[in-house]
Amino acid sequence: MKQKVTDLLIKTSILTCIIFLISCGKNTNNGDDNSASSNKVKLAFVTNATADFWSYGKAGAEKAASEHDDIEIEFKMGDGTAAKQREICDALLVRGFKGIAISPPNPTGQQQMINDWANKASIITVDSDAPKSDRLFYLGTNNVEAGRQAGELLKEALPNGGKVMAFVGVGDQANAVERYQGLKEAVAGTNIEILDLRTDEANIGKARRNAEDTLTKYPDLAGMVGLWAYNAPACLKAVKDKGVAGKVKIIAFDEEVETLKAIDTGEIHGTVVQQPYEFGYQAIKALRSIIIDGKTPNDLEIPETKQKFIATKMIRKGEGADYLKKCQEWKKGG
Amino acid sequence: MNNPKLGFVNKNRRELGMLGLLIVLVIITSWGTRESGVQAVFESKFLSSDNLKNISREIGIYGIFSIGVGIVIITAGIDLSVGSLMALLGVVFLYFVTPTETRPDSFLARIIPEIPWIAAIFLTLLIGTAVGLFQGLLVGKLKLQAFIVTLCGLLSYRGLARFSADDTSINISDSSQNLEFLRFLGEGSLADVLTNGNGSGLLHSIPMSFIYLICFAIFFGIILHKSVFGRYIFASGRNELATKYSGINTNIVIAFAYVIAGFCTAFAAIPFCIYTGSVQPATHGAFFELYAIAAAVLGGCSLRGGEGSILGILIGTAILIVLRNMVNLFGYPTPLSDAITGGVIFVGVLLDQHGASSIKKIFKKSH
Repeated sequence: MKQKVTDLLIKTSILTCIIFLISCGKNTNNGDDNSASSNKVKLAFVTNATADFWSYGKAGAEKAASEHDDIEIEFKMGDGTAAKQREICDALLVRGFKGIAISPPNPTGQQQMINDWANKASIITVDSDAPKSDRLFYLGTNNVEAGRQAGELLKEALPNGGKVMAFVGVGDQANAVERYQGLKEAVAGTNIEILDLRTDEANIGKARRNAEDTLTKYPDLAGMVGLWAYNAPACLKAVKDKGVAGKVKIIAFDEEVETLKAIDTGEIHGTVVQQPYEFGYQAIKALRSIIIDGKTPNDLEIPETKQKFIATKMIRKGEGADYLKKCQEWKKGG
Repeated sequence: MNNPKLGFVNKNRRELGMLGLLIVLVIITSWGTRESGVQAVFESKFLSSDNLKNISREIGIYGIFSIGVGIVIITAGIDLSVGSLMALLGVVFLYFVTPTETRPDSFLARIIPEIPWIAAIFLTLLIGTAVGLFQGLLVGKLKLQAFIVTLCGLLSYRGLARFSADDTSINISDSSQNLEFLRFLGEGSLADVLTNGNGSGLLHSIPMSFIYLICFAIFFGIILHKSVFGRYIFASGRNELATKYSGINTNIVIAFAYVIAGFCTAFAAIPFCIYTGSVQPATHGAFFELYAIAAAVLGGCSLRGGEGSILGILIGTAILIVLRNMVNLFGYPTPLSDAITGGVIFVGVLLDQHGASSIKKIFKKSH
């Protein structure tokens, strides 16, 4: 019997050592909460899910933090669920974070929890908005405008007009609807005819099949627009396979490596990119101004709608490699 | 040998070991998040009322379905369908309380009527229990392997949830009913429920889900450890054939364990979907079955069956949640959270099985 007790003691002490080591790691990695750093105002950025997109956002947030010595930031990536985001934010608030920029994976359903957080800290939404919640304001992309820019690129690529097919993952998702609407608005009144919108339920294999089938059905197709990041590379593969690369003009969205490389070779005419780096940078800057300098969203020139849009950029031939390099630097944390 | 104190230690060896681990975790997290000075451990961020409320709310939800899975494991079975069933029941429950016009266009959305939330709770519990009964009969009566039956459940309930929600998220805010009281019952505290949201003080720090867990633990603790039926459950898990030959209908006993699991899952599904405010069927409750299994195994349930206790399952759940909270409070990168949790479970179970005796052998050799 005595042995059992000894057993128990040995096990508990070994586990204590292991956990103690884990907690020591915390003090050296992140600085103890009791040190001088606790005078700094703590701000956080919590994403909806993990993506390269957000590593660019992280670089922006870190840049903003490096410009001020009165704030410290933490960048947290969610796993796509509201439950995980809640777990992360609840813990941040317990740790005394004064401002959080969040990208809610499910804005409508998370309204109540955003209101709860807004009672305890300054909350802004980034990239996906919960307009009815108590968040101070929203920072993000104007997808209708982004769609119009894609339309402009398309007009450059097809000065004589022609038939164009659009591709997207899920057709009724807000950013897909808005981008498609902007695209149609931009080409209205020209000789460009947008045939339809093909959807693939975010299945890349199906995206390629859609592109192949379109090329088969419309031998006179002049252009393709991929509204989600993977759509244009899928179109490119289909076009190359058919031997019409360069003839059928492709317009892309976002900064997939394949897209940026193909822009410089002329196989993709251009892409419209969002600016996640600016999301991170401006979100942290704004939170700091509100919490430390006591500014209001009005002082920060946030429009009455409480939605501030960060313009999208068009990348054309010759700019792909530079942009890719920039993305890679952001990814490495520069 | 007859020392009653040592008898208690021997009988509850595993639970005590894991309780030790939990206490160590609590002390270290409190120490690591204290404001300043040694005396401030009791005022640490970990022990702040907000944080204790947050973690006990999660322990409540996770603990309830872990009890169900734990009882199935004691009968030498397994239930892999918990997470998917939570997603499906979440969708069904939210359909019950939202008007038809706000739902996506799907078969299930069309046939489920909008009903008052109290009726929705009962019907959801009934559906969960029926699903448990279905799985229980397949395992207990038809003698299909539990792993396969519940694996099919894991795939098909998730698929059904996604299909019936047309892969969109279903939001509780779409409801036209006044769900304030339901919200208090789901994610609020005892004070919220008693004073309609105006409460404060100690009662405000006790979440309702934790109270449900205590009730579940007491009820199933009595069933499992004090009743004849509980002995049947342990006996069926330890040696089904011998139990059968001693005149006990093990088919029914085993089937009933799955009914309990279905009921517990359904009960946890309701506060969990109120906690998240919405159900995204593709990810809602993903991997929950594995958390439940981890909690049960940490708490002393043997996957071979016939061993385990409700107290152990509670301690196992608390360890999992406190570990995650520790990772968050210490500000570790989020991806490390699962790695640390997995590592601590692994070391805990390894030490429990082999650690102490091997270390003692090393000491003996050196003498």
